[in-house]
Amino acid sequence: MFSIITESGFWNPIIWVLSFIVIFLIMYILRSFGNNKFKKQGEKTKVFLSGNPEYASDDMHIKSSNLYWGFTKVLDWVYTVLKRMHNGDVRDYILWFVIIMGTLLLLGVML
Amino acid sequence: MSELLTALAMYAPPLMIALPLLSAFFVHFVNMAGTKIRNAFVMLMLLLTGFFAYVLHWDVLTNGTHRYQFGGAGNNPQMILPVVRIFFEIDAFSVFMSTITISLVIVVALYSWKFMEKNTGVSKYYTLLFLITTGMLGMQLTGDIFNFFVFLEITSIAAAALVAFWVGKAEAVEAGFKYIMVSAVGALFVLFAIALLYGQYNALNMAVLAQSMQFGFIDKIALIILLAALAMKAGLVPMHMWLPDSYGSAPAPVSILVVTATLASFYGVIRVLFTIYGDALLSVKTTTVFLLPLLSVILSMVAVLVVLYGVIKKKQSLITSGLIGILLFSVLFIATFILSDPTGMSMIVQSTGNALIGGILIGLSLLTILVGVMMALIQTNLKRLIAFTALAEVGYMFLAIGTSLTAYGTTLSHTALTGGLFHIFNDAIDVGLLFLVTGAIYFMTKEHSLDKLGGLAHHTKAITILFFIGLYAISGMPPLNGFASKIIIYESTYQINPILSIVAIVGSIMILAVFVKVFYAVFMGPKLSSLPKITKVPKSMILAMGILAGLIICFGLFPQIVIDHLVTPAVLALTGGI
Repeated sequence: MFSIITESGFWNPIIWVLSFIVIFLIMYILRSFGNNKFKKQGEKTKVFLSGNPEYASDDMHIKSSNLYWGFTKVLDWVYTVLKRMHNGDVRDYILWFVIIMGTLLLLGVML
Repeated sequence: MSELLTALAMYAPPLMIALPLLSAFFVHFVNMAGTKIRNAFVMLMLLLTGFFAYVLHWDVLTNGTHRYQFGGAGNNPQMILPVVRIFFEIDAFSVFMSTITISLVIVVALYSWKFMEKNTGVSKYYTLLFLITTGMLGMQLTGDIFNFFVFLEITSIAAAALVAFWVGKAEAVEAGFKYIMVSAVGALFVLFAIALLYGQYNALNMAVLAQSMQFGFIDKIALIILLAALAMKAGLVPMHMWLPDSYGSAPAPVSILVVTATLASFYGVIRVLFTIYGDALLSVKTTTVFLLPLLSVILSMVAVLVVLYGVIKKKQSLITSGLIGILLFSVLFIATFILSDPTGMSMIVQSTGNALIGGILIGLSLLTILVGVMMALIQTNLKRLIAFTALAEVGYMFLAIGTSLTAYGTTLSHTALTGGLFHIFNDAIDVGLLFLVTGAIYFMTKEHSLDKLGGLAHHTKAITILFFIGLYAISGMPPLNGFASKIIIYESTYQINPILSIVAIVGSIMILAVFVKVFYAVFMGPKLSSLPKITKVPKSMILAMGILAGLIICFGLFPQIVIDHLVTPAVLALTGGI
């Protein structure tokens, strides 16, 4: 009921959950050795921006289109092709279907 | 009790079609009595249909394949016209898919109570919902290939109308138009293939076709056409571009219905490959053209020359065409490379038909996974992002089917098919939950753009947790259900070629990256003053999402229950117990 037996081994989510709980407890115990007298107060926990004022929350939130910029920039050549494929023209969508069917028919003739 | 259930199961197949079909007609009249009565009627009819689906499922698992005949017995000498009969042949795979379908539709209806409340023409929405349910269930229960086409058309037309439901939005109407165009072309090719098979064998019953199958030239053509058309409906790259347009413009509950319709087309692919053609593919031995790998290398080199020429002449179209050519012929080469002689010295490829088709499906599925996740990474529209992720998940299913077909007749085939069918089950729930959460976010903020959302975790903890469960599951992270099916797929594809497994795992990692981005952009960060008033999500919508999240956790912790009682009987029904 709990295990999936595969050819290479097994997967048991209950063991995984129990392991996770044990590891979490160990981490919690280690954390409890920390300084419990520390209190969040004053300037210690405020954001430091090299002395500059903190921006408004709307300006501080990094927009999703800026994330993974490096990855997408390096693969610009792939994205150029992919964006052209997804141009929104239904005629091109049908054309792709025809191309693939033609290719498969050619391959199928060799069966 | 079991006798009562068996008696109910006897009439379950026609009732599963008749109930939603008649409800589609009557809901319009019930609507005149009031919104609450209409909602109660919709839920009652769907629960009744679901009850018959579950009873039928129990009956098939207990008593074996269930047959229901529509039409005459043919032994009446006074009959003048020829006998016309349609059989519903319901095996474990049919009930596996129909159970998933009706369960999702019930959750969608519960969600739609409040989500669609403020729209006009809601009775038409429920009419279309019942129609698409009829179509999907019909596709999954029928044993007649022409009947399958009829139900495919019903599903397509209802789905196109649902996609275009928000007629005030130009994108929705355009998406509906694209959907019906693609569906119509695909369905017509399916009809053409059915005509070829009918011309060959004078039969439309799938079991009769399977018994009579000789795998001649016409049969090969019919197989290719069926495969290509149904694979397009299922969303296999590069015939997938309609999918994000449709999913992205439809209301959230409709997106799930269209996902379910996609899975019904995927059901068609599996039926054609394993039931109708099945063993016939094994029997074909061919010294498949050794030219094939060589041809793909030559064509790739030509494509490289085209790109270089385009660079010199500064013509973008040549560069793009050349790059597409390189991509296509590389896929072709990989597909044939998988089948090549292990020493790598010989260019002569020997394979059975199943290995060639399996290789093609594997190549295209890897492309589907990579295109899906790469396009998802750059999306800023939340619904389109999830649509591309759903596309990548379809790639995993095709990868499992391709692996199963390549290794047909061995225990590896059984394992891969188990992973694939289990992944259908998990994907339906995971993607369903993500689309519902997207709908809830739209309900709250009237926004789909990731650039305009942020800090929603401050406003709603429930939606945050539900989205986290959905993203964790779809990324294939333990201990949720997505991991359970993906580990089986990884292990079975590894046996064919480790590279397949590596690409599949990289795809999962990239899906996790995509959703980490979404989680951060939508839920993390400070509260945004630019967001309009946040509307509270109604309890019925949270309940619908909660049901799916509960299933994800439950089947993640106890995957073997699903495998033993739902997936394995379906696999045995397809492979004949091999």
